[in-house]
Amino acid sequence: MKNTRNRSIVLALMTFAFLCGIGFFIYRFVTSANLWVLSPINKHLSEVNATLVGDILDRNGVVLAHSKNNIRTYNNDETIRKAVLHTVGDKEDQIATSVQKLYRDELYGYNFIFGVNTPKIFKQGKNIQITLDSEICKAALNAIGNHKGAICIYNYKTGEIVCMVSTPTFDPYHPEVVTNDKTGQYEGAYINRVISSSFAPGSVFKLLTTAAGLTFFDNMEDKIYSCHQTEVVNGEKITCLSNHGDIKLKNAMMESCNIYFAKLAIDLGKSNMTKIANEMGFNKNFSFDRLTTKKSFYDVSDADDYYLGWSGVGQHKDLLNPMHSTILMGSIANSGIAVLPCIVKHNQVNKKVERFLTKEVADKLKEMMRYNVTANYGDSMFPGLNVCAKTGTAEVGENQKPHGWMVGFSSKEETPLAFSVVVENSGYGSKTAGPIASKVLNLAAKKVLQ
Amino acid sequence: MNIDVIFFTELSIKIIIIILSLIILFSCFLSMKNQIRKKNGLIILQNEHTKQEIPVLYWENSIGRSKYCDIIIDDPTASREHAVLFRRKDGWFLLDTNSKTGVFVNGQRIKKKTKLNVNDKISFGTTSLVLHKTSDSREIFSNSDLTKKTKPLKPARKLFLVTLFIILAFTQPTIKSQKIEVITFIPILVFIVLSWTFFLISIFVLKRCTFELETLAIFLSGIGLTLINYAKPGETLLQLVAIGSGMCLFCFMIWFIKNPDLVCKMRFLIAITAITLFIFNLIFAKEINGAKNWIKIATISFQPSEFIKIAFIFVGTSTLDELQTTKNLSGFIIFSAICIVFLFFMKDFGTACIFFVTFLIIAFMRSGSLRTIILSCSAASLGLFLILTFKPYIKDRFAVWGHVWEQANELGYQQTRVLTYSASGGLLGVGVGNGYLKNIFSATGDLIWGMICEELGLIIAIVVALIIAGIAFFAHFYNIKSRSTFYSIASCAAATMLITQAALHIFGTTDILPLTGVTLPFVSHGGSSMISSFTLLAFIKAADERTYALKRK
Repeated sequence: MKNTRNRSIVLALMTFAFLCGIGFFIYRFVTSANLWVLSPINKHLSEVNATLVGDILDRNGVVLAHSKNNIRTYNNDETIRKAVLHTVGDKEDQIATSVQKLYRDELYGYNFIFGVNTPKIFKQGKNIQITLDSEICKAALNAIGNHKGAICIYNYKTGEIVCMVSTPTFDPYHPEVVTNDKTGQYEGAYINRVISSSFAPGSVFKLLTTAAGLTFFDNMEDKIYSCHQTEVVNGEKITCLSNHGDIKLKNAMMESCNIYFAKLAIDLGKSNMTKIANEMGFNKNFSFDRLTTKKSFYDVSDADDYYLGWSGVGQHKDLLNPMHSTILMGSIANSGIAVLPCIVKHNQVNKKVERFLTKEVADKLKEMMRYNVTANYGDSMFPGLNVCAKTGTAEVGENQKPHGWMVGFSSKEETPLAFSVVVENSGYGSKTAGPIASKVLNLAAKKVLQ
Repeated sequence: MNIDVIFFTELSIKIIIIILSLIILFSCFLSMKNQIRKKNGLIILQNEHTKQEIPVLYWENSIGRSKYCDIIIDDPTASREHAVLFRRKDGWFLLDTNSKTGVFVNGQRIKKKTKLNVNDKISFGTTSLVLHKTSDSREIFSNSDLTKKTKPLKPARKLFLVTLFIILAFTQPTIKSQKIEVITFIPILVFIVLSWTFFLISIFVLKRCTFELETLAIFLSGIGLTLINYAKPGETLLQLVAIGSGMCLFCFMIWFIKNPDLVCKMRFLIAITAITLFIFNLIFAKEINGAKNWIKIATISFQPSEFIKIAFIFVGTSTLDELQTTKNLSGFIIFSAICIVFLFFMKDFGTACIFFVTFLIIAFMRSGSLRTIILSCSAASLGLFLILTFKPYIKDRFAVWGHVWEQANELGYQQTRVLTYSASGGLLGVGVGNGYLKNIFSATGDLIWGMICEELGLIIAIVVALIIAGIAFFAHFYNIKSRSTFYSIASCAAATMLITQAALHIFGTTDILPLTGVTLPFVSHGGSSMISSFTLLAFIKAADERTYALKRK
């Protein structure tokens, strides 16, 4: 009997394992029930959006989404509705990266004790305040007009995103325009291009090649390459817009000379280029406030010198995510340290920071970018903001116009704003993205100073 | 009525039934220790030479030189496991278990089991022991000494709480609709009459002292019945019949296994019947939900595998004298292998898994050898590997495990519904009859855990799980006091079946384990499952020595 008794301890162990399993279920229930309950399959909440109760407000308290009598309403101004659509969300939850979708649990106010039968008095759907300024977003949408593209501005000291606009966009009251669209005008309307897209960076990428050069070559600023409009590498031509002759780094950057940076990239070699690209946030996702950005892409593992040269000027397979480029600008402005962004206003600020560059490299880049503006783009675009910037024009295919880029930041202490503007298939960056950046940044700076 | 009044009435009922369920849980498990025999010797063996007294603690005792024996003889001439001393209805017996030097009673070598009397002299090798009554003049062959502290009201009080719980849970939907129709209360009235009849028969006809296990079974089946009544009103009658038959079979089974020696002799017959039933099943069964485990005769359909569970326990368990004389497990191993292979052909992987775990427990309890267990596990994994190699589509059934949300409308359909609706219930539940999970296919059977969570809330669901765990713990805790290893092994095997089944059900539906589609014992809708649950409980009840030995006066 004693034996049998001792052996039956196995049963006790099984019982214990069963109890552990129940404990695990309770743990999962406590941590995830708010997400399970909001699944669209739940018939207790026949239309999730209708039952959402919390408001979404912008940084100044302007109501962007509100629930009344089980109906979800949005801001009264159509342009604001369209401008903040990708951040706030749509009625059918098609936009996967919207606050309304990602923060459903907080907005809905699921009560663990009562489940879906929570009486009204206990049901406190939280309001969520986001960091966007709806007026800046409206101005940004007006500026970009009917072009497809992305505009992002964030405060590189606090990390707050004040403007995030993605086009094409639509009115949340009229989602049918997207499904009825035959012209391709609304293609990709559900994607927030700032977060979930990446584009060929063109000359913007020269900043990275420069950073690599400054890191690995001692006399980088005095390094001379000669540009004769075309350069034959491995039997194929790398081309430049004009014949720059013998040129040094600062002017090569200002003139955006392709040959200079292609040669520099070839001299640096694949591993140095890749190392710096990875340090500066390429090939990785950034996560903040339940959002995850699409990776920026830099891969030259199978490239020969010809393609390595092109990769150094932002062509080849290079891709840049607008949110990442904005963070990158912030890091240059902050002497190499990037403050990770946020979209939801938090009570306590716990900034997450990441070092992208050494202080020396960052400061030299800043100086060159400032020179770009004073010597080339014109400081009158951003009066009084001491803007440092770089434009880019990325070739995307034979029969398509190039993507125009402008990235940069205001180096003034009072207006710590970094921006990225990308306009798809529009032409030269300085002609298309430039004016948009000018309008939006000037307004944003004015708002910051208020 | 005002909406607020309705709301607060509903809320208070929810809270009351939660409190009731907690009281039932604690009171039943706390009182299980009542009137348990203290650790006194039943009789005493006295060494003739040293005059040392050895108390005999158990109903079946192994005697030998090994330190694992219940009565250890420090004598080099004795075998490691020399003999078995055991108690049956008509007295104490001694059996020589193939010892080298033999066993002598009053100087005569015994060949088969021999009845002992007081003051008989038993000799093993050079050691002689004399059988005495215990010093506190306990009656060796009577049971009267155990009935001292009987409190007849206590079990009734617990059953009353269960009745109250069921009535309150059952009336929940009528508060909202504010229509009282007598006809909706008929099932619950029948159920109450049924359970109290069961109680009265147990206490006054069979004169049993304990009713905790039965109370818990009634509680669980009452919850199931309530949920089923509002989910599938047409099936309530069948469920009631199943509960009634389960109770009858429970009583029958306790009577049937009264004499373990007799049952052991019938084992071969039971094994043959079980295998015949399997063959019959494979030929005649129809495939429902991918598993071929239903037989339909006239209008009654049943699952043979549920009944084979009982046979499996009969074949697996054994008395101590038998354990010590025949150490061979091969018969049982072959029978288990046949059962599991049949279940695989029937594509009933859940039940196959239950059988395998139970096999491991029985094999370990009988042999105590880890080698057997490791060998069986490796054989099983090899078999599984072969099956998955040659029939890769089986793997697809489990591919969704851990990814249910990605396939919420395909393979993860049932699990995602269970999770979403359990979350909708919260801690208090949405109230009986207000759920949506009941509309999902086989919700009252394979997904009833989700229904409990949704309609009655997480707390009651956890109480249900704790009750099943508690029954298993009870089986472990009491088996040393049982009348024979036959009951110990059977009760542990039965508890293993119950708990494995509950684990597969609860964790399968909530995506912690792959979904195998087994029922929750006592709660789920289904006749065969209900009857087998009650029968398994009978094995656990029988292992408690009070069931047979302790009678109410």
